[in-house]
Amino acid sequence: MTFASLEFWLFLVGTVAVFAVIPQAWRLVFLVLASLVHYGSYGWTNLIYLGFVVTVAIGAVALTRHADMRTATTAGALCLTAVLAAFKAGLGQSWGLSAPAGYSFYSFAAIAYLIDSGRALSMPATAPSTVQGNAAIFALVWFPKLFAGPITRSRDLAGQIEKGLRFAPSGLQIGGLLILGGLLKKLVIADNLALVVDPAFAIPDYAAPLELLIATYFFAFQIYCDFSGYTDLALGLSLIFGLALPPNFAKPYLCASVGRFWAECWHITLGKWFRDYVFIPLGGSRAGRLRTVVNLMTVFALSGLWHSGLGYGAGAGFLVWGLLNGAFVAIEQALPDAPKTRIVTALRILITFHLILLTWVFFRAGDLDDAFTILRRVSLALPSAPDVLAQYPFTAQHFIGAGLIVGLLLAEVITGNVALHRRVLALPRPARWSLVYAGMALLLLLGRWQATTFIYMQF
Amino acid sequence: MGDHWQPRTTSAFLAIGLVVYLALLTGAETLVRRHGDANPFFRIWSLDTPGTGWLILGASHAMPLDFADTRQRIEDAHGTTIVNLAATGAGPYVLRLIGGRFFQDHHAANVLIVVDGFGYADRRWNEDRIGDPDMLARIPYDRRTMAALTDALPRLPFKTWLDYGTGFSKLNNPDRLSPDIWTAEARFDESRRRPSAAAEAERIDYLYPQGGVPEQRYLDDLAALVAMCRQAKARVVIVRPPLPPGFREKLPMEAEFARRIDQIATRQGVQLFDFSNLLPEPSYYFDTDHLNRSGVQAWLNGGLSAILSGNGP
Repeated sequence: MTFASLEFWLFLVGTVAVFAVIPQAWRLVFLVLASLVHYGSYGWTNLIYLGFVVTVAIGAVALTRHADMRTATTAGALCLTAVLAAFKAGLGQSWGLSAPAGYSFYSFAAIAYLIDSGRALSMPATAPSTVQGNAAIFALVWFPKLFAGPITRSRDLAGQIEKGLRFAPSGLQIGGLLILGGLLKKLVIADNLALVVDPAFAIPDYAAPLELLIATYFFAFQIYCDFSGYTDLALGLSLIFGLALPPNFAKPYLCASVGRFWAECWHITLGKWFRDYVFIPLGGSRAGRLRTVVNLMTVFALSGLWHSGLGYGAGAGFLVWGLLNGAFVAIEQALPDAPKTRIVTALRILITFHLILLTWVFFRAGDLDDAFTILRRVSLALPSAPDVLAQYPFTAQHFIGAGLIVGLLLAEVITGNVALHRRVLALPRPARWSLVYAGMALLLLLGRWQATTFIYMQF
Repeated sequence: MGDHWQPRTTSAFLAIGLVVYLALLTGAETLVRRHGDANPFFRIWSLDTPGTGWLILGASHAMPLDFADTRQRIEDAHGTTIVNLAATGAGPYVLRLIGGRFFQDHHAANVLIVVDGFGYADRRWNEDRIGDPDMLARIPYDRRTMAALTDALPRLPFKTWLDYGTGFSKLNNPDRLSPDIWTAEARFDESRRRPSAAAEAERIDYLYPQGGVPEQRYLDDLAALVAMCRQAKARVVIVRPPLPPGFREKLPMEAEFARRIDQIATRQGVQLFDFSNLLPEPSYYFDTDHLNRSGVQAWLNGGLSAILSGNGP
């Protein structure tokens, strides 16, 4: 049951209703069971792999009473990494095994738990062992974030679980706003942009160059709204049950550097995961400039490979995407600091956006050939673009897409460093309610509710 | 809201939200009534006479009988009136619902049921078809239609009933400002030059996603539809429409389907005419399997006209 289905909302209402009335002591177990029901609704075989990951993670830590902690947890982490790599390489398909939805995300969470346990970092030292075990399991199976993150460390949840999960009005209010925002981003913005993106990228040799250019810009916002929309849903749903998950996006297209884009603004929890479990163990930035560049490129190459199998084609395009981003970050780090004036910052934001945009072509295109075809055809057509623009047969979908993107950017610029939902909460009640009703009306009128899936659920 | 529940504020929020929803729904319903055309339930709702000479039920193969001025010309030529309630992808379960709704407050002297094998092989063309957004979005609110859908539960999916009741598909219809016309009608005067095997294969895969074995419950729906029409004092004729030979030969389980339809016709005591071999030339079709204007005329000349006049071919 996807977030856009009636079954999911009925499931959610039922789950909230039961959660609100059962004793505090039962709530965690109930939510774990509800999570298993939700994940199982996508196919009962998914539960087998989830069970395998949970067993390896919890089992390896539990067994350390009888073995060295580091050995057991390292073995567990390597086992999960190997299975993850096997799925990514498509090895399971030869045995008729298809990768379960979201397996990357909970595998990453499990690997993080194992490595942190080996370093005795997985939990606050004062947390009782039952809380530790509960938080570990919960961090792996919690349904709102199971398919596409945020990748949650068990120590982030342990403190909240120890205090007990509350059903509070504030959680419902803030969570509701996040859910509304998430649905708007996904069903209204991302899925309407897809109507222009998908046909153009399907025929890169034949689509008009201007159409390819528009589709590339649209894709940048499609993937942002698709992924961040899912995150908003995950955060909002969790807040309803009294849980605060870490944020995953921070207005990425308003970042003034590619480095900051990846470190602090886009898929933040994955960035932190790669930092903590790949970049830093390789030496980080402490082993000299050349070694730092190698470490950076390794992280971005692995990230690129991790994205392969997304459904846009396999392998090489994502690898180029990753390596390009790594190269941009490495070059940025070698450049002197720019003055922090408004104009320079605005220019840097524009440049950063377009550098990322360039890499999105490799991410979205079916293969490397298609990516180069798109770039070649667009760059050759750019000089004549002003003349073509005046006569181009724009459709309603183009205008709707452009309007949605402008609306999104305006909202992000106006709200500054504060999250959009916090700004809305701070408004006087009439304005707040008007915005909520307007959002719901948009969702009803423009939302594409039919059979929708999230891009990152294919991991 | 803070950490205190505020029931009055929450109630006010929900009440205003409901008013906003109803306002949007009123606008959506107005657009349905303004732009409605092809949807069979809309046609029933907008009929200005209670009776008709012929009622035509079927899927898309029956729709060319209503394209452009064809229906008017047939009416003039045969001195009768025709109500065509064919709909794209309408299997016998859908036709039974449509027929049932029609006969609640209308009558027909004759009913022509155009049967296609694909409609008997998959729930996609039956229980799930009514719930398709393109269908639901164009059904106007009508007490009797609501009653018909309620009676159809639980076989009719609850989501479909809920969607109609809440008007969700009407609100969410991206084509709300466009007239409800099947785009194929614009190709009525075209004709195919050469059959495309690839296009035919793709079309058949689309029509028969699970293969072609006719399911008993859908055959029972046809039998029930025939019985319903006869109970409404209508004479019933079942026809199989003309199809291009290359397309027809690729259809799965056609012989089995023909045999089962023949059994139903015999058991129900109604006439069955098989025109599937009548028009082999590709020039009579505007795509893989739909008759164009000259194809419809050839069908009329080849026996359909005699049926509509009250005789056999």
